[in-house]
Amino acid sequence: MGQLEIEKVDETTFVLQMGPHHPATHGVLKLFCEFEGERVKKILPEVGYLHRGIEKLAEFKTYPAAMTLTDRLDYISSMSNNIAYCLAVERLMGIEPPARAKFIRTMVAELTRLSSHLLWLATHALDIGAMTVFLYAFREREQILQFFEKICGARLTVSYPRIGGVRLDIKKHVLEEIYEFMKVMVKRVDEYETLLTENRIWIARTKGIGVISPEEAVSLGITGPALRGSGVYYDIRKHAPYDAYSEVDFEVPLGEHGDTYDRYLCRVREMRQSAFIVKQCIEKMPEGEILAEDSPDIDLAPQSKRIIKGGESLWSGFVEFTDEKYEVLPKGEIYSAVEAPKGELGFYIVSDGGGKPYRMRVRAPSFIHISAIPKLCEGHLLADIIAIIGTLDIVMGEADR
Amino acid sequence: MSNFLKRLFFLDLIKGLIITFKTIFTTPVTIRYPKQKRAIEPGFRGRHAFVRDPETGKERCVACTKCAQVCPSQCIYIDFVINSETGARVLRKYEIDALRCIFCGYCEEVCPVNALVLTEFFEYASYDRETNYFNREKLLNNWDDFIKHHEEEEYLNKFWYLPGINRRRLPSAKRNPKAVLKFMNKGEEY
Amino acid sequence: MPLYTDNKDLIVVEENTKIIKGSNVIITTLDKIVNWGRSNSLWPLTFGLACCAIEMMAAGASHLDLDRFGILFRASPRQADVIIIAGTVTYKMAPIVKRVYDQMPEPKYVVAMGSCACTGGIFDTYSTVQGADQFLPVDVYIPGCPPRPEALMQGLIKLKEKIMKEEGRWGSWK
Repeated sequence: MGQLEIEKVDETTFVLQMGPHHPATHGVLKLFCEFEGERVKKILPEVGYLHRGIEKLAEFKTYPAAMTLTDRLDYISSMSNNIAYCLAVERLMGIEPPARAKFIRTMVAELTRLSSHLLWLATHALDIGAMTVFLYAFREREQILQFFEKICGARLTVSYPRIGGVRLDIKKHVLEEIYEFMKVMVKRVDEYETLLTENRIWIARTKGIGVISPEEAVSLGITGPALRGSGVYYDIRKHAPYDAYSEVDFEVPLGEHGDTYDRYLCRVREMRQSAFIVKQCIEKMPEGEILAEDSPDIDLAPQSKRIIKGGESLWSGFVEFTDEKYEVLPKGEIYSAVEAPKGELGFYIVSDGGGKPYRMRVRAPSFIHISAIPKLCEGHLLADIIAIIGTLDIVMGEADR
Repeated sequence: MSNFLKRLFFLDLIKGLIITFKTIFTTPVTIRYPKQKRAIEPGFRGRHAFVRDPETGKERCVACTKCAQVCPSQCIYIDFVINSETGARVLRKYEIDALRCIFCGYCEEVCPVNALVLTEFFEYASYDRETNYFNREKLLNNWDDFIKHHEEEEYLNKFWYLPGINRRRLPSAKRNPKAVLKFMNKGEEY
Repeated sequence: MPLYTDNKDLIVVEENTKIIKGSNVIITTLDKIVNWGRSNSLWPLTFGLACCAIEMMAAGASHLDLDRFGILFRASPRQADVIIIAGTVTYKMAPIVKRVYDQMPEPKYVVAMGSCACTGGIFDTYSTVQGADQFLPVDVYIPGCPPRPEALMQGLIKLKEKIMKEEGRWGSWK
């Protein structure tokens, strides 16, 4: 399954299977590599080691219950997934969340972006050889997870947003703590930059590695910071603002050369922008409700209700019943995307009027980025494959679903 | 030229090393876990428990089966009989497979009488699967365990009153819930 | 406080551990010393599958330093004592997990971390193994989705306690 077809193995060709339990493949990605000497000749990623059937499973859960599945897609930035899913369902149903909920969502989405980029920085630096950054980045990440715990009671799989708003309100002192932390966070980002940006080892490992031109990046479907590293201005937060992104001010950092180093710079600058957005959200956050009036209840009834027609008086072996179908939600289909930390995360949902999605399809950025690995790795050394996997920021839970 | 000098005198590396050197003098963030514990935030979704009602000494559950219906991982199993005289539902079986639970908190959010709670207790690793398969008695024991070590005098979970959500949406017990007082659970001493 | 026994030359420190008076000699059983050494240098395999691996990393990072317990993550199964199944095991991944487990030297321990590894969790589907104990002998089950890093630590401490109770597991012939 997924075997690379080797036409003719000659003496100079070296075949290596990397993964799926290799510590640097970020999960369970398997790479089937063919080398010419020490240069990569051909590479074939094999996915599916974490395929759990989330899309199919979602068809058997009601809309609110299916949201908990989206936590487990990209488990590093579960808030973004939840928001993407909730937005898709809201647009399908025509629900508008209240202003406070919008600001809260924007804030937690940016906090998630921070935590996701911190984890990316930590693991990417660790793979390339900078151990200190791993420890420093996890120190700050733990703080953000603490805030998530204060907000909703869970650290990773939060299930915090809800269709039509959010589940719980945030207390004022928590907001103040987050605000204070964001001031510290900007300084910490400076620290990471001092450790890495000018470091000659870091530059030697990242500059000129995995170069991709803007045209190629667009044609491969790369999104997010990996695309912006090539200098393409594409950010859904700017182009199709959702939640409260139209009301906050931020910049979209762009790279020039499209190599690993530029993508690193993009992400680091994005972290500063995220901290800036979080601060603005807290400043501008209005008072009020956090859940829309017409949002569905969490115990949304499924589509059909079984009505038993006087069963007991009849023959005991048979019970007469009808499945009464009624429309809980409007019919239709929708594709809606958000700017997740990894890239464009889209949800395509088909509704047949019932309480369960008829079909849920996830456009996961990681899956599409994996398809870019062969292109990026061409002609590079074996050690650079690690840097390229790291720079694309792949999460297998999202790619395999 | 300045770049060349920087590289010559290892300034790029030294700047980084200064930061690591400075970090030596900061207070370490490490928590010495088994001895020193991090304060768990109120509302953390940990081990399941049935609230022992201070008045009756039993669970509050009315067997509405809403929690089993809403549970995304389908790990709650309920069985009940209908009392023929009063027409009320009487709980016969209530089981939670804690190892299948995903701790989303939907069950406690949807419970109309605040009977079920995910307590802030999380240290319950076991050597077998049966230990964490909670039935009714175990769930009540979990509550006793939790409330005994709870530091404050009263306990009110945030999923019981859902701050920020319009009160009209909620069932009556959730609109203005009473905190469970700790001393009431100690029994006859008070 | 050392307890004095009938034998005046021996001081009992704990059960089965005695000090000979006036000398630098401690007497204990072989079981105890082997288990003590083993439980204080549990080396888990760096083996992440899904969400729980992130919390496993958090447990190894600066806030909750697993190195304090002598737990160092090793990348090779040949050097590892314990495998932490951190995440969902699918039918495609299960043979690989089994293979990695088989490559570990005896004595080896398995910790199932999180709902997915314990029972399959929410993923009761066609592609997910319903619990790692269907093909591996699991020693400790840690509930949570994912468990807090502290919960993982508590699970590992429970595993240590279990190792301390073992008897006669100090040779390849046993």
